[in-house]
Amino acid sequence: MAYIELNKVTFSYPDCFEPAIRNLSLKINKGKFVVLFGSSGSGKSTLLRLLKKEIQPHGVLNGEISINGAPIQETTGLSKEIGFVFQDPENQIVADDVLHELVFGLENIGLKTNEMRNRLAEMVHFFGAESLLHRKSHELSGGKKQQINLASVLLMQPDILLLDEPTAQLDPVSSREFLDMLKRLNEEFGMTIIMAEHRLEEVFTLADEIVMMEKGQILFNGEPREVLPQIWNSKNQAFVPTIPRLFLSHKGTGMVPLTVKEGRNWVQESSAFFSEESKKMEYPIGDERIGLKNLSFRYDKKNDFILNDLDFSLAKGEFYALLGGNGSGKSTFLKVLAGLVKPEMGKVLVNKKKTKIIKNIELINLIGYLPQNPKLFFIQDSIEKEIQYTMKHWELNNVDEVDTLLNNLGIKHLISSHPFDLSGGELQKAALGCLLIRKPEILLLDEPTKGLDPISKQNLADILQSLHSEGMTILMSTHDVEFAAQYATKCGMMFQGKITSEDVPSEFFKGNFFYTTMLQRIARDLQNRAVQTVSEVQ
Amino acid sequence: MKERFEKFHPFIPFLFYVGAVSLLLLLLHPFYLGVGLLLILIINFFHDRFQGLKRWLFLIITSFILMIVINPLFNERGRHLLFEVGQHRVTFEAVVYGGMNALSIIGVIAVFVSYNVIMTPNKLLFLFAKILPQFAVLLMLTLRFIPLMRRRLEEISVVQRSKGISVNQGKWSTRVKTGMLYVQALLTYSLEEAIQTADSMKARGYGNGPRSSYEYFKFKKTDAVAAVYLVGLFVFILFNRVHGLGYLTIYPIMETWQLSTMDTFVLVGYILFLSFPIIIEAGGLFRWRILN
Amino acid sequence: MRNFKNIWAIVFLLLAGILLYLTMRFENTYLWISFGMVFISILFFFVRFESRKVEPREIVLLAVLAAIAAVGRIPFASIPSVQPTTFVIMMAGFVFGAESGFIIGAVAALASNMILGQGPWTPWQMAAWGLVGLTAGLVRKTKFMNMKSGRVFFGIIWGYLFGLIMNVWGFLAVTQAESHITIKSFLIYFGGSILFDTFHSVSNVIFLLIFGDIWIKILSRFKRKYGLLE
Ligand SMILES: Nc1ncnc2c1ncn2[C@@H]1O[C@H](COP(=O)(O)OP(=O)(O)OP(=O)(O)O)[C@@H](O)[C@H]1O
Ligand SMILES: Nc1ncnc2c1ncn2[C@@H]1O[C@H](COP(=O)(O)OP(=O)(O)OP(=O)(O)O)[C@@H](O)[C@H]1O
Ligand SMILES: [Mg+2]
Ligand SMILES: [Mg+2]
Repeated sequence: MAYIELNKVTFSYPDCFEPAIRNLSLKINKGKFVVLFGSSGSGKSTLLRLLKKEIQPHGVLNGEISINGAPIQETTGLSKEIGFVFQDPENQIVADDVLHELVFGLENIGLKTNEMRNRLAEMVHFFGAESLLHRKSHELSGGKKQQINLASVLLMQPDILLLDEPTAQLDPVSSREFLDMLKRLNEEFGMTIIMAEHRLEEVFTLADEIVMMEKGQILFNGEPREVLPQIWNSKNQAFVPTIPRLFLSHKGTGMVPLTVKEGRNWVQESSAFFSEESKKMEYPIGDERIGLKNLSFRYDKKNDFILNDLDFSLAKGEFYALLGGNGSGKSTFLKVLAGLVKPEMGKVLVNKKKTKIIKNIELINLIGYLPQNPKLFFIQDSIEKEIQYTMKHWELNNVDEVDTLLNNLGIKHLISSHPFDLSGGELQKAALGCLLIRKPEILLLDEPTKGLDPISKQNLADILQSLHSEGMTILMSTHDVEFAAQYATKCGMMFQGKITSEDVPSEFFKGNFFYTTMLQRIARDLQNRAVQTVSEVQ
Repeated sequence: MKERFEKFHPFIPFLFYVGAVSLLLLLLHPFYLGVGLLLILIINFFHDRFQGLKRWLFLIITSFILMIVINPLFNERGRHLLFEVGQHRVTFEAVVYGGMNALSIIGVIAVFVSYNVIMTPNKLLFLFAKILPQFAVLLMLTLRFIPLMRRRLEEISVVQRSKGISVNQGKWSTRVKTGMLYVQALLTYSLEEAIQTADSMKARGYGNGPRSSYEYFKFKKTDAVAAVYLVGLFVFILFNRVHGLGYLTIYPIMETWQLSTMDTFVLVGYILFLSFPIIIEAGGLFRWRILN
Repeated sequence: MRNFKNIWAIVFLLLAGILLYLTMRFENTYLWISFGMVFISILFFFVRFESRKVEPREIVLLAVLAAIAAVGRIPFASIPSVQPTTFVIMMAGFVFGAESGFIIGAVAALASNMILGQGPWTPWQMAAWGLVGLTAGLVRKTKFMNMKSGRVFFGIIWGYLFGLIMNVWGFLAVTQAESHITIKSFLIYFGGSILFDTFHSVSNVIFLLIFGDIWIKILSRFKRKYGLLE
């Protein structure tokens, strides 16, 4: 008998025709690390929630789910045994300081203070979080918040850990740290881990088993090395991460490489050929459009500068990707650039002419800004109303053009829905649509690819590329190294309030350890074999 | 210098502040009030060198002036006429009365200033968790949400500004309307997201059984001694107050300001009560000196 | 739980008894007594809230509304005397009932003062906003309140009533004992704040007229979504 067993499970949400989970059977053994993936809406979150009684969604459930031999409905007190970490680091936090947050679960199960202290001491040590204990929770960076969430769940000493896209908001280093933590928990404490993810590059190297879902059913299931070739040969190639993709696209033989090390070995052994030159399309790069000189900014006079004596220049026709850690100030930088917050010192140059920044209608006209959280973009209760409101506000009346635009973005059928009812990808596109109506010359996009499945991401990339080829200047912040490497014409790194090491992607990613693509990691020690991204190789 | 007072179990400062406010409101006598206010000021100086008081200075001064002026305005009673403004009698009694009220109220405000320094939200939360655990969770969540909402609201207004919409310009009516649209967006967004907060609480076992609370503070022997000291003095003063001591009768006939022997006793008790934080710090300093 | 209720019942009787006794013993200490009364009545509602098991979703919902009521003042900082706090609490009480309304109002006041700094006005503010929510909840089933004009009338009344409650402690402080509280002095004192109260009323009316219906719709939708149907 497997540890976790689902037998012919079907689940439908109320008022929904289609069941979200359809006749699904799955067995998971104790101590396994399982990764769930699949396109948006395939039912990953629903499946995870069904495994935890306290947060099972309302709806009709058929079939059996049992854990450790006991049907889940009949067991009690499982809140201790199963821990759940959600996607958004912010929403899970209930207390205004870290210590309260950590002990919240322990208080709920009625532990004595002494016992709480013991567990706390150990866990805080494990996470190296001593200095955080008395910090306010809202002051922490996204990565730290998510670690605190994990710690708070782990304090309850669960046997099973369920995670729903836990690293979606994290920078490469934090997400690496987070995954390493999971790996240790799995290997050293034998914790059974089930995790849903969209960013598959690194998680596949940790997984004992991967499960691909589609429309509430399991499409593929098994060990990564066995399953990946099957996925490659299906229509779902987009889900195969870079290293196995390299291998599979070259019709490599033997074991499918997953880790960088395996990849490197394979490259060395095989005679795979990598082209030296980039086949990237050349776009004309024009003069400087916006420039910043010696710019400093902070939110509060009492705090440190977030942007410190920063210089920056964005040329016409550029597709610029800005990388950097959680809380390094990328979003802040975009806000300053868009003229939305006022810098304390420094100059903003538009077409090399100095402008006064705030209330500057010129700048607002010029720039379309997509915030990190696109839900905050909408203040009307449907896309249609939002579009009408924008048109009225900007005194536009080119209804036909708007129609074509919406068609091109593929969101025409959604315009009567409430923005919050859309999926992540649809929401991005809807917000983009509302921006493009005004025909800005520059797009500032704050992490447009976060939380998107590979297919929606491809879709967004196509849209951005076609805009770019029509002459749009684009600046985006992102944690998605692969995406930046593939589409940007220039990359920059935000660090300590400045933008350092600006370069074209191929050069930019060469020297880094974490902020680099999988392929660059393989190529690190291989002289004379410059490796580009897969799409260039193909 | 507030280390030692701060280190007490939160119940002790709470007791002290409740007592101090009650005494300032109940013992209306110029001597008592003068001494009381002086002590509170010293406490404030000890705690933060008047930093907190400076913030409230405007409020304190205006209420002081208002009180002193308003009472004689409303009240013409009294035998000792000071002067007349038109038809209006301004009496000595009314002025004394207004003065005492003014001292009492600014004393209370100054006590609150010190309270805000010592009783951090965490301590209050801790006290609530002891007697009203469920309410304490609600309060904790609200305190968590306030900075979050503030950040979100700021985010909303920044994003809307990028669309050319602002609450700082334009007609008064559109500004109000836009401002409220922001709050509405905040409402819908936050309610949508907060379901996850509830799930995260449930996932961590909230609501399944009796809740314990992490003892951030231990009730030690010194706390017990302090509690007995404070309660003892308070009861002593209150008892005497019920019997008409520590109080200046003004109407119908103003009594003499002189303190009787018993009044002096009560005053000593009153001083001992209000100077509790000072005694604590001074005691600590003294011991530290001796040890070195 | 039963035990809990009994203990609190005794505590309340005791507190009320002490207060009554002291009232008779000290003549003319209105301010002190009014503080005691406000304190006890707030505590009463909190204990009532405590004695029922509140689901996580409900508690989160209350916290969100209280936080929004507290934070909602920010966008209006540039417009004097206009703030939607009363409106938010009114809507919350109207949709979620009297008890939730009181709790939201009181917690909004308490929590925002925990951040801004407490003062002697805290209990009064808690009581005033708590009562806004409470009364909105109490009359929500009436025909009158289900008409827009009814709600607007309610908003006007509360604009002034709120000022009245907040002035009580100031008034009692000024005129503490013995200086007989006359109607005249009362009117003069309250006259001072009438302008602000009028602004308060007017902004309530504006919010209720433009946003009342849609807020009721939004809150009712979430009431369903959170599974909080009576
Ligand atoms: N509360 C709900 N009510 C109704 N339908 C829902 C609800 N939550 C999800 N669904 C639907 O159930 C299906 C599965 O959703 P689910 O959230 O499990 O997908 P997912 O794989 O986690 O997607 P994502 O990658 O975007 O997180 C989707 O079609 C979705 O629209
Ligand atoms: N509205 C605000 N008020 C005060 N401080 C803020 C505000 N917004 C952000 N900060 C702080 O400024 C710093 C930079 O934040 P910012 O959001 O710009 O980082 P980021 O690089 O975009 O991070 P992420 O990758 O997580 O999105 C952080 O320390 C953050 O806590
Ligand atoms: Mg999901
Ligand atoms: Mg950001």
